[in-house]
Amino acid sequence: MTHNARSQRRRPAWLAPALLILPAFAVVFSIAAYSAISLFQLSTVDLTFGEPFRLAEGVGLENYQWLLTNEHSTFGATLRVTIHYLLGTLIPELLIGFAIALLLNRKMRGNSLFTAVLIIPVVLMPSMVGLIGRLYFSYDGLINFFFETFTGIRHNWYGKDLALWAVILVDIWEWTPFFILILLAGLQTLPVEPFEAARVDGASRWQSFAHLTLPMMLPLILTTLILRFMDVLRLFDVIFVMFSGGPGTTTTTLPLYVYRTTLVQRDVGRGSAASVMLIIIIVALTVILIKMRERIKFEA
Amino acid sequence: MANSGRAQLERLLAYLISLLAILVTLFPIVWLLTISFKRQRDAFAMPPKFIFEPIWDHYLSLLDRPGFVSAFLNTVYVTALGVTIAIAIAIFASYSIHRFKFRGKKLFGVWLLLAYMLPEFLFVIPMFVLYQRIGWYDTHIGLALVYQVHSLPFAVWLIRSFFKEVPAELDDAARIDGCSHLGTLRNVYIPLAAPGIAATAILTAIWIWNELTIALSLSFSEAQTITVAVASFRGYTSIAWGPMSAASIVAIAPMLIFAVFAQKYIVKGLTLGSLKG
Amino acid sequence: MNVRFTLVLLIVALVFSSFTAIAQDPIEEWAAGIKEAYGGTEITVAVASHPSIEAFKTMIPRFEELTGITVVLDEMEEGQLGQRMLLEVSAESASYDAMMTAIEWSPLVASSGYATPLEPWIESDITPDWFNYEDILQAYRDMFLWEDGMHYGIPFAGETVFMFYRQDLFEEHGIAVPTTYDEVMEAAAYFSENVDGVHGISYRARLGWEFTYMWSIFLAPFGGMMVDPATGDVALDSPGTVASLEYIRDLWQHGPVGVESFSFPEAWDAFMLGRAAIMIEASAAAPEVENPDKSLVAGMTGYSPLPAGPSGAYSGVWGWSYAMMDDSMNKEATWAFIAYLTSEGLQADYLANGGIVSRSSALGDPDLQAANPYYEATLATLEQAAALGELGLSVVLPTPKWSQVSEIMGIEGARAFIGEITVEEAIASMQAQVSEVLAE
Repeated sequence: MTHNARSQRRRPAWLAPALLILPAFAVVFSIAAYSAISLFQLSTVDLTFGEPFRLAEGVGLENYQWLLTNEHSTFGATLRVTIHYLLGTLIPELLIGFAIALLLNRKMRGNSLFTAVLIIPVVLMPSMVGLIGRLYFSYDGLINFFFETFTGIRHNWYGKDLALWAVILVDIWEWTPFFILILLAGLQTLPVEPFEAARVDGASRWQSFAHLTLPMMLPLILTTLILRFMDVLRLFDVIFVMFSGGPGTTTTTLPLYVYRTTLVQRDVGRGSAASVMLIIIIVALTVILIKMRERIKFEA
Repeated sequence: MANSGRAQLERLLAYLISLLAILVTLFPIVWLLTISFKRQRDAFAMPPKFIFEPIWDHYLSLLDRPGFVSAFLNTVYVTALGVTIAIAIAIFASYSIHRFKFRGKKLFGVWLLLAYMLPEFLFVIPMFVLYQRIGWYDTHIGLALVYQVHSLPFAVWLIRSFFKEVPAELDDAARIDGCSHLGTLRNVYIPLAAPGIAATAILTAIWIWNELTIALSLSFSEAQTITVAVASFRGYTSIAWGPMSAASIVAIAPMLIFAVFAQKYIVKGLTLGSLKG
Repeated sequence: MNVRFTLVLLIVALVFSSFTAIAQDPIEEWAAGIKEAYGGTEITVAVASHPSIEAFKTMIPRFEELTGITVVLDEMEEGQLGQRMLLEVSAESASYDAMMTAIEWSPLVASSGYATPLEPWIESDITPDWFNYEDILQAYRDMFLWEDGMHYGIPFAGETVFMFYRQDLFEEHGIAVPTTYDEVMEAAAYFSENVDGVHGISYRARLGWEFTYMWSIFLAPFGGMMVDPATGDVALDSPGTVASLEYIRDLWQHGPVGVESFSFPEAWDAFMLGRAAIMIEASAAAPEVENPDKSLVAGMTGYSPLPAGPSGAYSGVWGWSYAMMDDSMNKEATWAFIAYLTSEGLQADYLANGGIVSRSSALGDPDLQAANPYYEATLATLEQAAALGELGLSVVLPTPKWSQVSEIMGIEGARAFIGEITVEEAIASMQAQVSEVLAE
């Protein structure tokens, strides 16, 4: 057979695959690895951005120590804000997105129009979204206009109690359509037979949802969550344009913290240390999520 | 039947909700569009002015603005470059992952995923030090290469899932005919997965086009992209809301048009990738 | 009769045209000399978007034509320019011949040798007679003075802070214009409570450098300071500093809703759209406030120097200048460029095209004063700034580490402002962190 013929060639079997993936590996590996290593290195020095780089002095793990234990460090607050942001966006987006997707999972007219419009937030420039948010959430802005029309009260979105919510609401506006579109597409590709069989067996709608839809959709749900999760930890522009991390520290998520520390306070050492910790968190959480997904796929 | 009343109600609800979703999604953008046509004091009047006298000034001022036009062109160039590199390399890599079993394959996959996850701003400082030294700062190719760290894994992931859909028999048939790997790739996989590859290219292009952090840090004037140009409207005396919104609209217009026409592909690309994983 | 009349007219016309011809001569004459010596050179200048730059852009074509020097402007946003500057300093490279430099950056460009001292150039032959360096307000010139006694920038856009107020509202309610900060608090409270849709006072309080910018104005009037000029120690924990922070925090209740996140656009908009009765903000807001396209209160605004706190009335100066790069290969042509644009001779053009004023000849000109209601207030406020200088203090610490200091003050101060931490905690934190930064 042909396989025999092939294995008689003198080239080793791994050469072809290796050559094929080499460029990808080279580019990605070199940049990512170089950056990660540099960051580790930079996190152990005391350097001010703007000073010639050759003046950096090594200080070991002092930067980490400062971030985690010093009384003036706001790193803890940053972690809290980041977690609030994560939960405050992913959960509503998933629930609302899924609910709407379920509702729209039927033959409907205007599907193309619907998809076309809902895809728009996905392609928007984040800084533009931030700009929109800043305009709309001002005390005299449109959001308060609607609130006042329906509830008679205006809110101070720029204040310490609601600023994080303003940012979260912007994220929900921007990404719920994403969830809707993907989950809807997923629902539409589910096999029909199990549902028909269930109906024949007299299962209620709730039962077929709980025992058929949900388990079959779980991998897609998890994958979408992972995708968004990775994006959320990167989010910078919207919050920066809207509040720069304020008021106080109420909207300072990790990316903003790294930015302010490294580029405004110009403390490269601490900023890099914070970055390294961010990397560790991302890696840990993603590995967990992926393992969860693999297990579910197995069982499904 | 008892069901039809309820079914009809649900149907109505479904249409209402989609209408609501469309309105909520579109409204902020349409409003921004109106700001780009309003005098500044009209733009922020309370209660909001829905009827006003439109002016073209903000859009015209964009042409005067140094570097806006060139930023736009730069973005087109960098995006084209970045997408081409990503797709070209990803096609080979995806084929390899799909076709072969080899040691370290899983590790490679994990590595790609980790690279994809890294927030951009993390490589900004190390890369900018490096680029300064090797002279790639503020170059189109420099930007396009850094974007690969995020775009390549994504492209590999997606294209591989499209390759998976190619029936194995076609692959075997090609091999029997004596095609080399490259040949199989060219004659079988690429043509069949073409829509998927197109979807991947589109999604990659969107990400690169909108990217700000890296562009802000690694480009200055030669390669300055439009995201940076829009952010620059925060001038000394005030945020020029008018010109800034005009600039934003211009900046997203290509992507919007693209998206509206290519929405089928985009959703397909995103879902397929997610489903097959 | 007709013939005589025509003759007289002709003579007058001739005389007139000869005057104008003579009036143009100095500039063209000078330019001809420059063209001979340096024509054909190309210089690159980095600038940030700014009204003064808009004015310069209208003036540059004539400069190029007269002197044969080509000017390449690299315009970018202020923050980017700052980063570019940092980059060049840290990489020890020089891509420009001249750079627009802010007062906050001056210590860094001077101490690092990135910029070159300008005294030799001011005194050189290239400088035209109509440049008149001393006419530039001293307070502005001194912003770019470094500890070696040399100046590292020629200022063109000086800025100070004064008080804007709604003349119409004050008159209507019979309230006197405040002259002390206590009166400001009272007036602000009055308007917030009694006039619908109007808050007392608008200002910016967004965390970071903006907060520090705003706060720095209130320091000296309350007896506070950042660094004690006598001892050189960080003095953020002095009672005066604490008092000033408490004052600002108390002022919050009379500000527009959301002032804790206000950057200058929001602060200015609040006043311009009629939602605040008073504003304490940068003088650069004045042209905007008087612009009917953007402001609903144009023509209704009064301008006054800053009120006094318990320790006196003080203001500050900030501004932009042109610095010349030490590594530039075209210093003569670059200096010709700088001198031309910032000269007294071209001032009329500059101001007419929206440039921000920084020369005493302009500020003291009665016609210009009449056309620009805020010139007088600017002059008075500059005296207040000079008074601050006499105390040995400044609103911007002359250290290359200023951006770090202002960030620390601006974050802790903002946290106290919204009540996330107490004023005492904020002050203690600032004192410790800033001492650490400056000690290095």
